[in-house]
Amino acid sequence: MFMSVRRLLSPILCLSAGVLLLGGLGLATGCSSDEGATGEGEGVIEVVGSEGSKTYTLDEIRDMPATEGYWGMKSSTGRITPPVKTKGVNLDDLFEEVGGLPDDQAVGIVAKDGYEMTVSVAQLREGKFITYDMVTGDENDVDGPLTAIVAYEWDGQPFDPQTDGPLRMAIVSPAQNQVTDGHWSVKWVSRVLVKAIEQDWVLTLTGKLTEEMDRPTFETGAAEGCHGTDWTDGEGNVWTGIPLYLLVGRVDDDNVHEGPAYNRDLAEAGYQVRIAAADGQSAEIASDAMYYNKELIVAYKLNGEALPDDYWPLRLVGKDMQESDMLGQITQIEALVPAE
Amino acid sequence: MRRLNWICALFWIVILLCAGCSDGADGGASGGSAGDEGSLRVLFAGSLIIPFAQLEEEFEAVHPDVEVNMEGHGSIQAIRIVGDLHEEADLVITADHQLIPMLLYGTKDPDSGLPYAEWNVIFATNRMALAYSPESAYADEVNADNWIEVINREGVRLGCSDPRIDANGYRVLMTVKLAEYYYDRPGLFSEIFGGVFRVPVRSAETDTGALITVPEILETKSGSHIVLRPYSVSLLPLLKSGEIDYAFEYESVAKQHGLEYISLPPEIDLSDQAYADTYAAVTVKLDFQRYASVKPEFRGDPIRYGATIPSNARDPEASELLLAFLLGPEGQRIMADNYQPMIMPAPADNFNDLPESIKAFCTPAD
Repeated sequence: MFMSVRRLLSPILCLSAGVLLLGGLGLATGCSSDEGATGEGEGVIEVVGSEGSKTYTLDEIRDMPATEGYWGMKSSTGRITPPVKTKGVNLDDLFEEVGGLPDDQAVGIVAKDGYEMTVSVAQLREGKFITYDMVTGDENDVDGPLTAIVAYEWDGQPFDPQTDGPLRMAIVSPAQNQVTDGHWSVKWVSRVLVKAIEQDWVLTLTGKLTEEMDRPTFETGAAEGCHGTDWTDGEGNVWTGIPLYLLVGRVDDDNVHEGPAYNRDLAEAGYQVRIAAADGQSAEIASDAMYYNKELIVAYKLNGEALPDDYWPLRLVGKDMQESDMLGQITQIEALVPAE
Repeated sequence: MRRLNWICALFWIVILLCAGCSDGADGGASGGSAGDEGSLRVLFAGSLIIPFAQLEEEFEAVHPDVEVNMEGHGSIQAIRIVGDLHEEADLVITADHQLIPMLLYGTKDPDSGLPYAEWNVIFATNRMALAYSPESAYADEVNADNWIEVINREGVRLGCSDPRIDANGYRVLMTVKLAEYYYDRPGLFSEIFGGVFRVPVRSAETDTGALITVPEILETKSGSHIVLRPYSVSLLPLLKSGEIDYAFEYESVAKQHGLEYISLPPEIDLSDQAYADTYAAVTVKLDFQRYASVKPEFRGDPIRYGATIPSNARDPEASELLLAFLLGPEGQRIMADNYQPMIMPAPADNFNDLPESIKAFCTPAD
């Protein structure tokens, strides 16, 4: 049977049908929000933005500017739901009253059961989704923008309240010429939220004390008006961070951050500071080299952006340092202060 | 001849996927059952699509009263259908046996209160390989000595599956990191994966080895030489069409699809138990909690496929029949026919909890 069926197949049929394999997941679930809505009826979706959150009823969603297009999908097993006219609200409009969608952030689309898909705002804006031919399932490239919407109407009808919920994520196109991976089509969408896109990290500071400094803490300290310091290299690149001596000052003695936390007496007596990187490399700096040196900084930004991969998250940079001594991927700073 | 292989391979993919067409994994709701009522629902790693097509056909011929409904998925996704979405399944087979205890032992079926699984049979293995087609860029010169240099050349497009979904995806990251050590090429991981993702995949050295962190958002930048798809099998048509030049695939899959491939050294191909400690020097961590039940951290380990019958199986007796068929002489022949190496007798985790009919093919795991 195995061989006979093989022989019966025409190449075209095989190739056309075979691509049905391609495809995304398709495991999206969810239900409605219980939070109070701003209008009549039950709230169906909570929108959490940078300037607060708001819960909307289905009627309020319907009253927003509508975006319409063709939405279809391809399940993880290759099944194709052909594209049909679908109507909803695009995410830019949905977030308008809670601060909009910042370019450098992401959006989480959350279903009732907690299932969540996250997509960058950049991808939403670019409309960069893998698309498939609605007949063959082959990947295809389509002209025209692909737009992510929170949909409430499909083929002129509301979604099935039992199986899909009142709102469903949909990727729509102007023409009836594509389907997208099923995992984007989150059912029972109950919450959408703006999310930070950065990865977290921890810098371990050790000396007399030990501190696990997380990214937000470092960035707060590196803010302009706090301890944020710029240093410009020979090529005009601007590195932004915190002077090394200030970081050491948090752990060199019992004084973490009160008054002059940096222990001048200890520094003048002399000790080494060992800096370790994620790739196993390390470097040592003498305390006199960093003594109130505001041109020797632990940088977390280069020209206003997160550091490139080779250096991320932190790099030691500064005046009079050789390039080879500017250690990147810093994870630990250890002040080898003498024991009392 | 090569074209015929492709056609045949794609045909069996179609047959299997059509068989799975009624599943609920299409953005579907959680809970309840999916698949054809009355059929045996098998959720399995996509890399087994070809042999499992033959397995289904031959099993149904021997057991005409049992209809098998095969669904190929990424391994994480396959197991999540049961453990997170609480859908019924009769047999779950993953390309990473560790996923079963990780995701199903500790998760209880809300209807019965029972853990979804209490044992798993480690029955098959594989090797990571670099697949390509005769039309791939530099296909006429790539070999086991220069593949790293070739995939890094300008304009060469490399396909990888999504480590957030597919076991093959996180194994690609492990293999590349291990290659960095094996070939003494510091920075290799960064050369291949650096600067291509909107949020970077990062590698750091820790006291216990390399820790590779995969971000929640894994989107390639425009013009990236890395082409990311949900599953490793999703890359096969792209290889054929010339959309990509190379892809990390399981060696069995490359053979089944008539692809050219580079065999990788055992120190990095994740196949050999003798190098288990070497593999363990690399860990891939998913830097988010997408799946409620997934502990998103995977330590390098020899590739070992696992199988279990979930506690919510609709027809446990028929499931046992199918699993025994897979582990028995017929299954061994089918797998061998399709270049899929098996481990026999199969080590079984929690051997004493195995159904009696399965114990005959197994041995207690260490």
